Amino acid sequence: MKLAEALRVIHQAQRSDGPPCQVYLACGFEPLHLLTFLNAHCSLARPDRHVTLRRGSYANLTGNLESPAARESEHVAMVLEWPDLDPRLGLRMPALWNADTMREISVESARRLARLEHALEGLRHQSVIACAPTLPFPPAALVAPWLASELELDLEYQLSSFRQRTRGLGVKWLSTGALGAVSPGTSRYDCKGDFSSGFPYSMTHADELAGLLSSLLFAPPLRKGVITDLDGTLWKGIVGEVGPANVSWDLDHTSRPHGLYQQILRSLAESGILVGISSKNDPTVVTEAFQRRDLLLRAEHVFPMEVHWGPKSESVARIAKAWNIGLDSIVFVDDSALERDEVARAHPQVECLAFPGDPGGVETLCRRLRGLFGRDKVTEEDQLRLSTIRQNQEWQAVTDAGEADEAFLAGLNARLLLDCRRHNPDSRALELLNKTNQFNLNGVRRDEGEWLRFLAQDNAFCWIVSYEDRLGPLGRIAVLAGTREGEHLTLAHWVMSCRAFSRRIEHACLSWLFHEVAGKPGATSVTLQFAATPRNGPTRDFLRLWRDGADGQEAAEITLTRAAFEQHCPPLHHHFDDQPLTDGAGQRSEFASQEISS
Amino acid sequence: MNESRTRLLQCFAAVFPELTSAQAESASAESISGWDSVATVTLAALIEEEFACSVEPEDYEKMTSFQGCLHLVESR
Repeated sequence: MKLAEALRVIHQAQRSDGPPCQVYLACGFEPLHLLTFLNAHCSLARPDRHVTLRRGSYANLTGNLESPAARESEHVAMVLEWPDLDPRLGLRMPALWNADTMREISVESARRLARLEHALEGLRHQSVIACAPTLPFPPAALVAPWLASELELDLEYQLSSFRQRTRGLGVKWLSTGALGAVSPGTSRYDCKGDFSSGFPYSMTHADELAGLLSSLLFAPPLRKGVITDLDGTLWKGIVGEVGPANVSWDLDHTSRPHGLYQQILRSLAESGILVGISSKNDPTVVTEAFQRRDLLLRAEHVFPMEVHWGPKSESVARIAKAWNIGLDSIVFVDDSALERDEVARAHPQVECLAFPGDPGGVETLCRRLRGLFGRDKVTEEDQLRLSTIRQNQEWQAVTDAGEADEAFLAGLNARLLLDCRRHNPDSRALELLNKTNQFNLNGVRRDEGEWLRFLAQDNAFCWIVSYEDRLGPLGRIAVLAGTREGEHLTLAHWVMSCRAFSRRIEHACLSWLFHEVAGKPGATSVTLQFAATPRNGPTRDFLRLWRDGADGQEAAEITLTRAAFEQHCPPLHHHFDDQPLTDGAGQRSEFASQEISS
Repeated sequence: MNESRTRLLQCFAAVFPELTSAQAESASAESISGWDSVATVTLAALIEEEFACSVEPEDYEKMTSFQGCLHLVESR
């Protein structure tokens, strides 16, 4: 992006009437064009918000982080440079560079990083991102520039430790490798700008850095499943012609790129990404090929396998149905341009990627897949996902004929566990909120900064619901969040994983809201801030049960009384765990209860 | 209108989007409230981008009006 374009973007975005989104850029240098580029990239990433950027004062990074402006912002982006560790590491101001000052710089750096860490601890209600020094180490050390000096190694060690510690505080650090891929080290520093205005970055570096910081602040929605071709993609060779024993993916057969691809698919599968197969082949031959023990991607990592001679677009539709996810969450990989084109024409929402013919292209493809599916950490639910989808096939067989019968539901031995901690240490609630489409009260998405702000309200609550029955655990499958005024609750967010449909978990959740708790009454009324979206039909259908007994229109919010709820609630057979997790040690949430009956 | 003038107007439009072309042509640091040192540095960067030339810090003192900026780019 050029500076002129960035200014145009900001000018257009200023007309936005979306809710405000304040980003604070904390740095010790004059942010000048970095501020402009970051504003532009953030505005493009969040067109639904009115993004404004604030900045602090020059040469006062810690003070900036401690400022009211930083604490009032939803997001804080900290850009660290060497002079923030010690001003003598900047080229702009005069300094002595001798053996004594090298030692002093090391001590001063440790002191400043400790202060920075303390300042970051104070930003509990903000989403905080950061990047380590991006500019070349200054020629301060006494050694030749090609030799890593003791000072440079010491400061890098201090920084590495600092990054690890602050990561534990929730700070997200920009990958130095990712920055290196788009902004070469030799073209980052602008000495002229640094001396004349205090802005040390070249335009291209400022633009690339701002783009990555914006991606870190406002991560694009992640995909959920990948569908892969076999011949010429998962392995080298046409299995129907050469036989299962002769397809390959190793160095000896110059087919290692296929092995690398298998490796990344397995890694994705083991982190909860769904992997399916669409191949025009004889199913018996493919089954035999998947019995080879040297395959890196094994049959148990894959579900379902669509192996036949029909159109791949139909396979993709069936796999999406089995996974119960939207087509826009799917990536399709095939070496055949014809097949990609057929799928893309039938399903324009699916991202179709070519399996390249050269090793470098495959390495790039693997990085691309990481970008499309990347996640901070693997949760219990990620590991359960494939098995619950397999279970759901059995479940579907029961419910396809209509609602599952009462005896079947009663015999499930369904148990629910509530996690009522508002300041939950993991990100599952936000993850569910932002990726759930079908059972979603209103489709409202929140970024981390907004979410932390929401939870910081005195009367806010957030419950994460886990489920298990005799068929196995589903993990944390629902989130309910809102505010409480006396005995009235307002539910601003309610999402439930599609894997948990048909078990009356949604009824049980509502019942819980009205339930009496240890002498304290449950809610007497609940307002559900429903809004219809193109994809939340299941939520609308569920609420229709109570539309007759409550105010409100089909597409509007609805207020339910306890009596109205109980009048239409079907029998519930769930047991709630009697030890819900709460914020206080050993202190139960005022909403927590033990068992549901209706 | 010559080409340099048109291109310079685009630079001014990026920094001062509220100005009409006529207002921009008569603009000066004294007449425009938002024309501060940051605006000057931004203008300098835009001129470097648009005209593929180098604007030195010493040139900033000539960049106090549209006409001053125009003379600067025409001298490069």
